[in-house]
Amino acid sequence: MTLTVSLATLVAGIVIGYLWQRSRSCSISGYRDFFLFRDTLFMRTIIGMALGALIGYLLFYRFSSLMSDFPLYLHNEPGANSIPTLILAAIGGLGYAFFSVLAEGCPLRQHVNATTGNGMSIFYLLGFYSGILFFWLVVSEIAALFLRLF
Amino acid sequence: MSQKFRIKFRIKTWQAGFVVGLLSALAQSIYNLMPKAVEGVAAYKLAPVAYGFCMFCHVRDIVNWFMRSFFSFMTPAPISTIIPALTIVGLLIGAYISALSTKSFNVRKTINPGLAFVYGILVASFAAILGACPIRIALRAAYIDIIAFVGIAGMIIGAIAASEILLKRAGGD
Repeated sequence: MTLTVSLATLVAGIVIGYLWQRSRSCSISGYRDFFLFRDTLFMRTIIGMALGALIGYLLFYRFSSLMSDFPLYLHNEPGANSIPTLILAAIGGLGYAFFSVLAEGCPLRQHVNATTGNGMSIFYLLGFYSGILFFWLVVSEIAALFLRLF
Repeated sequence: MSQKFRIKFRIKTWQAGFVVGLLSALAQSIYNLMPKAVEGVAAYKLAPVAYGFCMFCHVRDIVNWFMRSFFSFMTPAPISTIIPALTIVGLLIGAYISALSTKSFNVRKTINPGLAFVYGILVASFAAILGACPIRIALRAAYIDIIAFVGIAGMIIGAIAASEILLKRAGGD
């Protein structure tokens, strides 16, 4: 029973990896190309993703009791959307998009590129994995300090 | 007429996105099917919202799962305490199958590995502050979460700023 989650995500990962290699799409290039050239090719990925997720959530919410807290803004705990959390989310999104555009691709694109033999992507992935340790040691302390200011 | 007939189909970008969204909703429902407490892990069922597919969170779960014996503060999400979500492994397998079948596997020259390494560290840190990647942000926006809309606004500003820098660099001088 505990294997179910791992197996489900493994199969979903295989399908998603195949699709993304074929379609060559990228999630951060959607925002970049739309505001740089008004090109909607990759923006369609993001819109399609949100649409597909919304349809899936609505189906499970309507025909079963699995998505009991579906519209999250109605079921939020008090204080979940406080001002400091929102500021942190904005800062995170800003820095994320900035460095992702400079690195030419979102992490999913880099994973897919690494399997086709792109050396840059392989070093990016090494940095990505060690960045998690960097976060626990350094960045989480800074974020906690920021939250204590309010 | 000696040309070999090869099926060459390109999946359109919106179709790929749509399938990703549907699969994530399915995975989220599988999390909610799980029993409430397993082998001493309380709140096993309480998966984070819109956790079906996330490039950062599932990577973090795997890394934390491997490293938690060395560092006690690295705790994976409750859903992957016993066996982590294996999205990344599946992703690499699927992309490799596709790269082999389309014969697009070729080793290219690495130009600037140190810069790519630094970009990886920075992207991982900011993704940890945001708590999501663009894909999970889209899924959370579909879950109607206010944090997701703020994150998307920040992402748009960051993308515009970085593309201005890229344009300046491409302009020469």
